[in-house]
Amino acid sequence: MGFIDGLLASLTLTNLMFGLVGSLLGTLVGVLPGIGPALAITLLLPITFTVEPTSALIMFAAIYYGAMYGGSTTSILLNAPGESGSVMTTIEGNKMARSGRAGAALATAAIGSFLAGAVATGLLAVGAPFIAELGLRLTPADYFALMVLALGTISAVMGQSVVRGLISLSIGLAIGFVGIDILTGAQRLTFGYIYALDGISTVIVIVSLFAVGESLYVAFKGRFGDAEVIKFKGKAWMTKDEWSRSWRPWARGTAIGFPLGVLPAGGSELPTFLSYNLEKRLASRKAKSEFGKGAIEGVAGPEAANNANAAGSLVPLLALGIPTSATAAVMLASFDQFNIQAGPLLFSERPEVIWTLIGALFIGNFLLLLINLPLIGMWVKLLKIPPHYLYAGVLTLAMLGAFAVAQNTFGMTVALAVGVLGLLFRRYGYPITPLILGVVIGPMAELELRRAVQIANGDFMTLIEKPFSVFIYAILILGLIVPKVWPKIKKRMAIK
Amino acid sequence: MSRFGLTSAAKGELVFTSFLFLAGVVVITDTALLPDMLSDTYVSPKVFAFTVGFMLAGLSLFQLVQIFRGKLGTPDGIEGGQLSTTSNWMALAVAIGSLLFYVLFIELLGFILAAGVLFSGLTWALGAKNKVRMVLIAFVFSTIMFFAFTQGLQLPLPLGFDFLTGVEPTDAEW
Repeated sequence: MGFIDGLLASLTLTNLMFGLVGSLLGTLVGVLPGIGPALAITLLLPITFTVEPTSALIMFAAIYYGAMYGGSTTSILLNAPGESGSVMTTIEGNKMARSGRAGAALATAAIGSFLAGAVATGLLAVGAPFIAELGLRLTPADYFALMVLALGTISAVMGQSVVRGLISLSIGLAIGFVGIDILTGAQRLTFGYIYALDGISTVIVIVSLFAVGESLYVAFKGRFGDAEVIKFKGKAWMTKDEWSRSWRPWARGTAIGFPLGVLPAGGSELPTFLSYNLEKRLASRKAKSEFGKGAIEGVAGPEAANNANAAGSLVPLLALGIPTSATAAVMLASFDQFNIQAGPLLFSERPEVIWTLIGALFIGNFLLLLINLPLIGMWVKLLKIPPHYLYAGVLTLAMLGAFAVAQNTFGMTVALAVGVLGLLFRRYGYPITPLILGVVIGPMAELELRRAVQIANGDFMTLIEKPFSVFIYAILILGLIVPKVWPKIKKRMAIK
Repeated sequence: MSRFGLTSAAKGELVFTSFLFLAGVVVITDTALLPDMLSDTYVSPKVFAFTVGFMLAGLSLFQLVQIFRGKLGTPDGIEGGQLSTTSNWMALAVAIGSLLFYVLFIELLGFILAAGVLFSGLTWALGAKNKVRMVLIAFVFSTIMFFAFTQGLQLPLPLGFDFLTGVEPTDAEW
């Protein structure tokens, strides 16, 4: 089974329908503030009990892609990012809309997203089997190194400082300990509660951190003004000049977004930020004067980076079973629900699932272009829903989900407590993503560590015995130190 | 300004960071109190837990020092709104209160009532003005959700008021 078979298999009526539903839902959660793809997929996890694995995974992946499209609409027309990956789009996109060029901004965002998504999905189809092949040769010690790299770099790049990221990570790892240790039966951090023995569900943590934490934070510190939705009539399309100014940023955005998705950079904040700054630097004199006033390059680049990044983050998820963003972490949880082991064996053991999924991503990406260009007017109307009601609706839905998972007061109390933690994290500038990845990757990393040391008869030096692991740790150390040291070196050289 | 020249934001961050430090200490003590297990695994459950505990405690200690050096965290932005310069304690209390009500009373009073209160409480906390519309939308929403989930998706949600029939609600029912 290969790519062409997968593409054909994804064209069944059921799979197309789930792809369409996922695309619509994804665009919806992208457009609406207060709910993102990670939370949306978490709330939909219960469908894994009734729906075929392939169909459900197609829907989840379509939500991930769709949220990247939808986020730009809110950024451009409302001057508020609908998604963390569209913060950069807001800067130029909203200025363009204000000067009557909303159509062009929406078009360059949607077409750029489509092209980047298509190219990046192609790279995923080519690259993932190759990396899976590599993954088959890795030992538990290597996997442990990769997971440490993922956790370390994500913590380093996501927060306002490396230390804040690592603290967030530690809290996540600690939450991951709660319960009975499978290998020894030791009870960690249960404090004698029977309900705590099963551990704290990832679903509860994600739902509480996002929905509860965000709602409390907005109530405490936020203010919904009469946000002005910029009127948009007519078609989302571009002039010849705008096309010629867009295609290079699209290409560069894709080139930045995809590799940063494959590498553990923790989501789309970093690639969109880099893309925006690159476009600003490379802009021609005319375009440069437009930056800050509505330069189309500043929308085209980050939007392409955004989608390419989402596709890129599927590579380590599918090929190695290691998630590098919050949404990928939730998708990993959905694989678990189906007892499908994401990782190198996926391509040999369940080729029908993986290739149908990749095929469906192509179809879904095309559907998203249709949903977001001609039907843009439909999404614009959604922006008129008062945010108070939106947040309340999302929270109520999330607490329903928490009840369905927890089924007892203990689980619900945990949900509330984690929600308060989410509020405090936002208030004091601690990043959320490292915590979530700590909860998800932590137990996996501990298992690999134990396997590795057990194989080596208790010798911890096995962790740095193979060149591959040493190489990975070296990358991690470089990644943590260079950004700190580089400015100082540059300064010193300038003085001399 | 206090004795150490800390602003109220710094004091808040001080309390929160101390809590993080304490969490680290809790992880360390909990791990230390684990009984030694004779098992065939070479890595005991303590290894990873101690690492994380000391990492958390050590880093939050560092962060505590940073606060005294005046390096504070920047609050996150708000999706779909603006960050306010003042803190709205009343709204926060109402939001947490509504959540507590939901958690404590969902089995006793049922999902429709508990979720209705949660929805209206939060809309009010987020600054909606029209109270009648708020409560109306809340209960229409929670009723629709109740039937959509119990009838449509076959996901059981508590109807509540079991005390009227004399049946004790138990966890086993769920």
